[in-house]
Amino acid sequence: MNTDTQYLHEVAESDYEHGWSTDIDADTIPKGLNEDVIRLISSKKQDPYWMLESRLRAFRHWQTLLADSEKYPRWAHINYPQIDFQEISYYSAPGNKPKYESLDEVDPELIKTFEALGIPLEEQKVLAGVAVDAVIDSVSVATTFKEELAKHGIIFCSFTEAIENHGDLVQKYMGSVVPYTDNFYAALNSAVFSDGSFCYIPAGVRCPMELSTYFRINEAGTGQFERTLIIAEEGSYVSYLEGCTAPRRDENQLHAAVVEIIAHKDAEVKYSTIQNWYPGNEDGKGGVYNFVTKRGICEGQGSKISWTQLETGSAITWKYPSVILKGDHSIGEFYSVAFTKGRQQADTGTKMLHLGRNTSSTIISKGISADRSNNSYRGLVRINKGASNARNFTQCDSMLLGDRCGAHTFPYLEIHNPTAQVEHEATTSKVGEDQMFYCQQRGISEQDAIKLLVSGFCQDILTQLPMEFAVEARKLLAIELEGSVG
Amino acid sequence: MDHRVEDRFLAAYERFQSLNGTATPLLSLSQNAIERFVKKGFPKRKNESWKYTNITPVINRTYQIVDPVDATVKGLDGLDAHQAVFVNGRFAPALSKLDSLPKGVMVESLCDVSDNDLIQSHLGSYANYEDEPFTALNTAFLKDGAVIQVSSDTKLDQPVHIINRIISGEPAIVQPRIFIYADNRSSLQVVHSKEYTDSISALTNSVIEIYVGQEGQVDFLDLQIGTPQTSQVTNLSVYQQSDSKFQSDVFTFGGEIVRNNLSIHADAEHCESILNGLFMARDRTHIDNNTFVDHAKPNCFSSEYYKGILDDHAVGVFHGQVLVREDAQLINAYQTNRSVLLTDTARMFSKPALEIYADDVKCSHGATTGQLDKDGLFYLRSRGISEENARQLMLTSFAGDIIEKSPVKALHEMLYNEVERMLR
Repeated sequence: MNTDTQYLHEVAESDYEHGWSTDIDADTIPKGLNEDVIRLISSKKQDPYWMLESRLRAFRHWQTLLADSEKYPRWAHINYPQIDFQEISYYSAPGNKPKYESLDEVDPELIKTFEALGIPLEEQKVLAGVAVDAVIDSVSVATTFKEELAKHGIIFCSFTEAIENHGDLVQKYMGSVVPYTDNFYAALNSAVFSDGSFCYIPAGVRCPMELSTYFRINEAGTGQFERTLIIAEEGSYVSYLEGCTAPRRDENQLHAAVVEIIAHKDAEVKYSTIQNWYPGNEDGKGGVYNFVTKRGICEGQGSKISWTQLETGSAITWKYPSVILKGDHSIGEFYSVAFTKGRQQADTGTKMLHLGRNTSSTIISKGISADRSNNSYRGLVRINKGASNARNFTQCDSMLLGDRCGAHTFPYLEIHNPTAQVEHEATTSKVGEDQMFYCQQRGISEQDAIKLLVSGFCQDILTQLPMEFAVEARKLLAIELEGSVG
Repeated sequence: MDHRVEDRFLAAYERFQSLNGTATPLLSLSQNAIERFVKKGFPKRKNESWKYTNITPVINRTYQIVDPVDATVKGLDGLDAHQAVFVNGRFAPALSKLDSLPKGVMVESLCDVSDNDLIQSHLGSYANYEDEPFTALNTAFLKDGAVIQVSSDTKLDQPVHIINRIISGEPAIVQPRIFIYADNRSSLQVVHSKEYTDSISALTNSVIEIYVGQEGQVDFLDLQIGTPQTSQVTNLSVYQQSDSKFQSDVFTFGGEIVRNNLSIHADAEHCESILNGLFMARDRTHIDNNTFVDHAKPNCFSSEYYKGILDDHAVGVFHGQVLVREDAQLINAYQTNRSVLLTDTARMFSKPALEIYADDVKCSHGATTGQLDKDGLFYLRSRGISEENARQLMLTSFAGDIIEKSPVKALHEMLYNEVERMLR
């Protein structure tokens, strides 16, 4: 299948579409990390005292992890050189420091960047009815639709503002799902995070619009340490969108975010992600290291958390959006499409921890690998002793587009209760020749046929995405797939 | 008492070798193995493949290396076989029945053939003592074992039954070793079982190496009947040549800690590997089945089917791994693990993993854990069958799936009886 491989090469060699960088003055602190840097970040953020305390506690813990090389997480099926944590600058904020009231005040360069990405703020504001909290590097520069949300009592703001105005909520919930002791990168994030998003939905409120944040990593050599906290009170509902693209850079950029979700009784949180950061060139040079800890807790009875993700970018993805099903009758869902090409490596999956009775979880993961990439699904389903009548269904399918890539599945099933029903299924295959033949025989070009088949392979997941995202997701997948074949 | 437990084994090794331990032709192999063992040490739970099994309490006990004594063996009901008996690891010709072996088949004691070319070039080359400390320990204490050699184009009509008889008044460690060489186009069935003295406390650490030549076929049935005082570690390594077939059936009924490492290296095209297992446990039994299928060459087929029934506080572990190497195209690999938990306190850990580097393959795995189907139970009860009997019936048929797959038909009845005994 020579033409197929030829297509593959074309895709592999095609340049990263969103690879440019915006010229805005940024307030960046020198490289390196020590207690003084933590204090500096803290003072730049005008943290209250408790926040500084919490950063230092996390930093001291992180240092003990760093000192003991055995504590550095190496278990994932990924390969990369040791990261020099002193070679990274831990804070970068766009210049023109003051907070913006309206978009007009935003640096025009920024607006241009968004427009190049195909997400004009203005248009989206009007047409899509999406409140956009745009995060460039580490400081929120624009928050829209705030007033509309405020009417419902919804708080949607940058993490910095939340610390300033809703300190009690932040203090109560931050670290309650992902404590700083959780893992190496959670500890690092807890120490140096600069900003992120905060979202609070009061009891009984159905958020009238989809909340959305666009992340972009923008300063060379800058780590992006985001922190997101979503709290859904009893009976509330929110759909949260996170989408990312980053300009092309030669250096590896480290991204270690933490996302925490708390869903109280009967609340529902839907969290959708499109991740399209710079994956590095075809030799594996450059690209973003994406080490993320995402976890939600279904705290109350009947609550539901749903993660949907489309992962196409980053040189390395290390990410396991998880759900702790604590409340009885709570529901956890994980829908994922991970596409790797070039020399990308992804080790991604989920954890479903069933603690409450009659809890159920669904995991559907689709991995597609091309070129010399490696794509692993790693997932844990644990049914605790008290979780009677728990139900889990897991399906993870892999597709290989090429004979030098790898697709791996590492499921862990830990069952401590006899009434549990746990099912796991996985398949690995390539695009069926008969399917290809059928399409081509109907006059569909080889390239279109592959797009069609892969899009069908991912259909289950893409339909889970909210409308606004689904369109973007399909477009992105099509660009990524351009010509790929197995 | 601060010594590493490995040091105790090292001291025992030196004592063992000073008393005419390993035969001279195998001495350098044994020395390499002990070096490797001391370096690696016993596996800890930090080790991914020992994540769910804590072997330390079993290792920390003091065991005696026991000498052979006079004994009798029972054999297995219904099985007519060529019988090779080992008492505490040493060949017992008086108890063995090897007179009617056909021409071209040799069943011997390792002691007698240790300088044989075949042994010199093959023993220890399939069972990996570099990375597997239990294999290293067994190889270090090499003394006796069963050697089965089948010449090309020879087919056995009766199975070979290897019995390891373990007798000791005090806690004993016995390390059986089996080496099977099935030359091109040969075929044979081997049954391996252990017989313990009542109420003995023992650890057996078996290493089994099997070479299957071109178009050869080997069926290996391992029967592991244990008591709460007996622990078993078994490393079975298989090397397959082109167009060969290998089938393993592992039946585990009880024990304290049972760990099976089964590794298949399909190093040529058109190999077929079938791995079936049934494990039943109650009380505090812990059974861990670890399988690794390495598809190094294209056009091969492998299928794994493991089923477990766990009662009381028992723990089951299934850790299956299929590796398809680059360019090993057209592989079909299947993995299935089904388990039933009968109580609130039984636990099951399942990790069916796939690692695939070739694109034109069909690989799938499935795992389910749950309890008995309520509709099925209801149906049987509505037909006037008591709940207890209905449960028994359903579990027997659940286990029967694996028994029926075993090619050693003569043992089916005995295996069903064993299942019933476990369910009682």
